[in-house]
Amino acid sequence: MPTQSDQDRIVLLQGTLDLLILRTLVFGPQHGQGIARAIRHTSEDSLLVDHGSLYPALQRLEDQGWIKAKWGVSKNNRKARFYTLTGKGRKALTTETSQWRRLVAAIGRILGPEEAGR
Amino acid sequence: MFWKKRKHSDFQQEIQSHLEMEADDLAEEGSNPGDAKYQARREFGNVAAAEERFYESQRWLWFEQLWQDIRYGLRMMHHSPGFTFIAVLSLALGIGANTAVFSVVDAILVKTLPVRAPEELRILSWVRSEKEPVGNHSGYNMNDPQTGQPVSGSFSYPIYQLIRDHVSQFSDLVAFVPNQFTVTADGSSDFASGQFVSGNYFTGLGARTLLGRPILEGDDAAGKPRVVVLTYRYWEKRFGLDPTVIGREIAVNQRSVTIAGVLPPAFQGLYPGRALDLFVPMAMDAEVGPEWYSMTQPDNWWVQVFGRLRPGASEQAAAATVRATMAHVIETYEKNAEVPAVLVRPGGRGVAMLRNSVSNSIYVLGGVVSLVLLIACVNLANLLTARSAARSREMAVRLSMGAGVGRLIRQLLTESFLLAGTGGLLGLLLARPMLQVVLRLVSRSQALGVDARLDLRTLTFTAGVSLLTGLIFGSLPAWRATRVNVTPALKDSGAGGKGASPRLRLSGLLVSAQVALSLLLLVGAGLFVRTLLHLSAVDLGFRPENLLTFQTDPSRNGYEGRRLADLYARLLQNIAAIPGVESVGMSQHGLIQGVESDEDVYVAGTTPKSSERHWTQELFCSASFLSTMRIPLLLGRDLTPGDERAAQHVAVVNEQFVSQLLSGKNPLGQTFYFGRLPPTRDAEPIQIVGVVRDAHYTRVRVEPKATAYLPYAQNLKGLHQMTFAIRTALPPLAIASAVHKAVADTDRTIPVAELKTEEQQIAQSLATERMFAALVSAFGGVAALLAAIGLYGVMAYAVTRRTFEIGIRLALGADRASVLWMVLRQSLWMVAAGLLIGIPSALALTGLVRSSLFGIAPTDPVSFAAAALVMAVVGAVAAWLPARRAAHVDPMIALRYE
Repeated sequence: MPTQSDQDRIVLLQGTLDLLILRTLVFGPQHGQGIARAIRHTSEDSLLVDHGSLYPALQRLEDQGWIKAKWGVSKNNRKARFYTLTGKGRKALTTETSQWRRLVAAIGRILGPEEAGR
Repeated sequence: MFWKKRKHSDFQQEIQSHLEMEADDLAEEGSNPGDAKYQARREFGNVAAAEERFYESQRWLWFEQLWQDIRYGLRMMHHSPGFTFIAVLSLALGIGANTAVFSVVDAILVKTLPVRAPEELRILSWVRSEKEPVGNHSGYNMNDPQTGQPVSGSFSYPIYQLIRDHVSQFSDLVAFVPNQFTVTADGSSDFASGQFVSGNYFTGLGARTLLGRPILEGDDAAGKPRVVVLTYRYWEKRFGLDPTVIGREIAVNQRSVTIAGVLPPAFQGLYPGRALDLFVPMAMDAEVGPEWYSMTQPDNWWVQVFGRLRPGASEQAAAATVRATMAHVIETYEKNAEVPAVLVRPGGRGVAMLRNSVSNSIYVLGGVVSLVLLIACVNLANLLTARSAARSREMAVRLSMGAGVGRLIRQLLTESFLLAGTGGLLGLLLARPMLQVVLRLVSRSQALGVDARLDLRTLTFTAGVSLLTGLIFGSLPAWRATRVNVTPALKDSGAGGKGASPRLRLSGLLVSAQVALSLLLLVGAGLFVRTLLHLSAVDLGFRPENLLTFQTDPSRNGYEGRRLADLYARLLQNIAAIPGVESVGMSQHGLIQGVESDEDVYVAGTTPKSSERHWTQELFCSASFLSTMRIPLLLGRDLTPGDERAAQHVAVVNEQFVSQLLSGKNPLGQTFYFGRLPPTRDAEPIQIVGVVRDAHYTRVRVEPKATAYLPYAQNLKGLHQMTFAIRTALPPLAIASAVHKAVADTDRTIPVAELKTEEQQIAQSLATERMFAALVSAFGGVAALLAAIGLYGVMAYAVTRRTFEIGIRLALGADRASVLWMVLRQSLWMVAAGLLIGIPSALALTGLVRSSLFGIAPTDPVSFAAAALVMAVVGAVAAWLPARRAAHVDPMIALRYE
């Protein structure tokens, strides 16, 4: 298990999971478990993906045509469903990312400089 | 996409592989394999919840919920059969009536002709003027829909031939002309309305036959074997749909012809709505057509022309070429003539004659049936609102258990759509008989050849209307129902509470709206009923009782001139000899047949201004006509058989003639001429020998005009059809077979058409008015009944809510009469509010039916007062039961109730 306690983990905001999934898939096709792990590792264990919401999110993205899925074989020789980013998904990722950055910047301005001593 | 759903097992497999891979990874990171599996599973969270969420994300959940809503809706319908019955029946009535009217509107006003590429078809017409170079003219007179100019669609046959062969903008130029025929088949003769058509008519239009073959180019030439094509309705009426008629010999105007084909029901020629019986090749016109329908005379204008404009050709260019071609022909008989302007107009919907003559009735009907449907909607909205009041606890419970508002609205709307759908289906069944009624309504007495069917277009319309209806009456109550304030609704035990709730106010408004709409229909009913009463009370100036009439026309059998006059004289004698016949007369048109002849009249010794025209109705008749019709003689003498062979032309005129044309001079001995000033050489002076009382000629509605009655035998050239009138001592129809026999004994091939009593003829001429009165009254009654139901529902609910309050009032000494009045007053307020909206709306709207009324103004106070009174009584009656229940509340029980 990771060393951090559960309290330090950030609960994902609604909608951000989609963005993270798309971002992860930029590096190539990946299965659900791989995506969850990648998000956790890349965020240095501070983001924990609730697996219960991961699959509905994947389903949703697939319905929107942003990703597509295909059964394949994992590195441990297990059957797994691999997801790939579509052209439409790539475009969506760009707009969503810039939107996210704007949101973060705006909220940051409102909250002001970080206070010490939390 | 909608149906592409992932299998559940596929998803389970994905989760399974996820857990396995996670366990692999954990084991790699150092956990022991058993723990790793458990940990992976814990890490994943609730597998069942994930699966459920996957399941919900699938589209077909939507259908599952829909099915659930439908089942729930059906259960609600089943639980309140009374409500369902009223809802479905009122909707069926409204939707059915709208469907029927729509299919007629569609057939007459919208649908294109059932021919190949109807959008290419063009009607040719020309603008009429004072100086038009036209000798004889026959055809329609109407106004061009685009410019409003008076136009004619008739050309002379030589002009048609020249345009057909030389105007390159048209690919097919077809010609036709309506004509009446006498058809003899299976040993009996009858009248049939048909058209002479050019040989390229059917091929050019692309109209196919149901059986056999159409008339072809080869049939339209002199010396060919003669063929005819029947319409479906005539095939059905005259030959009972017998498929062996193809190749059978029949006689048309005594010429032997072969039936070549039968047309499908949809094809009725190029006059939509005009009922046709058969088509005859144009070449037969020379043998059996009217003499002046000449194929060679360039100044006899009678043939109507449709063309198919070539793709890319412009209408203006075509019109210009036609005009230039026309000028060539006109040149041959009139130098320096003013060649009329030619119009080329879209003809895909045929000639708009019927559209003009029936559109008024159709608009009134359309208005009435829309009102009925609107009333049904308002009524249902009201009933649903009342019902949602009863269900407010259910809604509150469901909302507090976390049901989404959208989900609830969806369920309530599904219930509405179920009702509307059921109503729509039943409405389709009702639409069939209603269609017959509507067709009779718009057609007056003439046969209407509208192919108004319940086809796919109609079905689409019905489905759309049903959906819209469900949305209109369902959305307001549904929205209202879900705006429950959860806590009080749950606390409320259902019967207590005070005063008017917002829901009750909404219901009150809806009831008032219903009253207003019902009032509109009742006012209409009053106006139409009173119109009919006035029409029935009109003194026609002759006695219609005990009169049998029939029409005949031996001129199509080859009789003409003196021979025809003598035949008519023999027919009169033979019919007069039938036992039970008091007297028999005949006239060129029957009275109240809607047909008239008129001519310009010039009285000798007067000097009228040249612009002044004295249109005078003429009626050529037998000497016995006026006495048989019981039109009383006021001055001078009646026509006598002696006049018929006398050299001196005579006439009996009516009072209008005397007052309008003779300005008070003694009419006896005065002479007049037909025609305009100065009298032409062959104009005969006609001497007035008698004066009769004014009598109605064409219609009950039309006041008698100046009329001259003239001996038929003094007009041998114009002698054609006659209507016989037989006054009997017996009930008139009792001698019908004797009349048939008397005519057959004279000449077996002479048809006896339209045999009926004069009273039937008059009733038929008032059929539209009668059916308007009946239909609007019936719908008005239904509307008032629905309003009563709505009012009753609201008052019953209000009384239930106020039981506690009423109990207190009674306990404190209020007497029962005042409680009764309190409830009645509340209901009368709603009615009064409805009348306050309804009366001004009715005043604004009744002007639209002015032309359908007779003897009363659209603002007729009697109709308005009666309608308002009916609504007030309906309101009082509907509120009476709840009011009585309120007055009989037992205070002890009411107060203990809480």
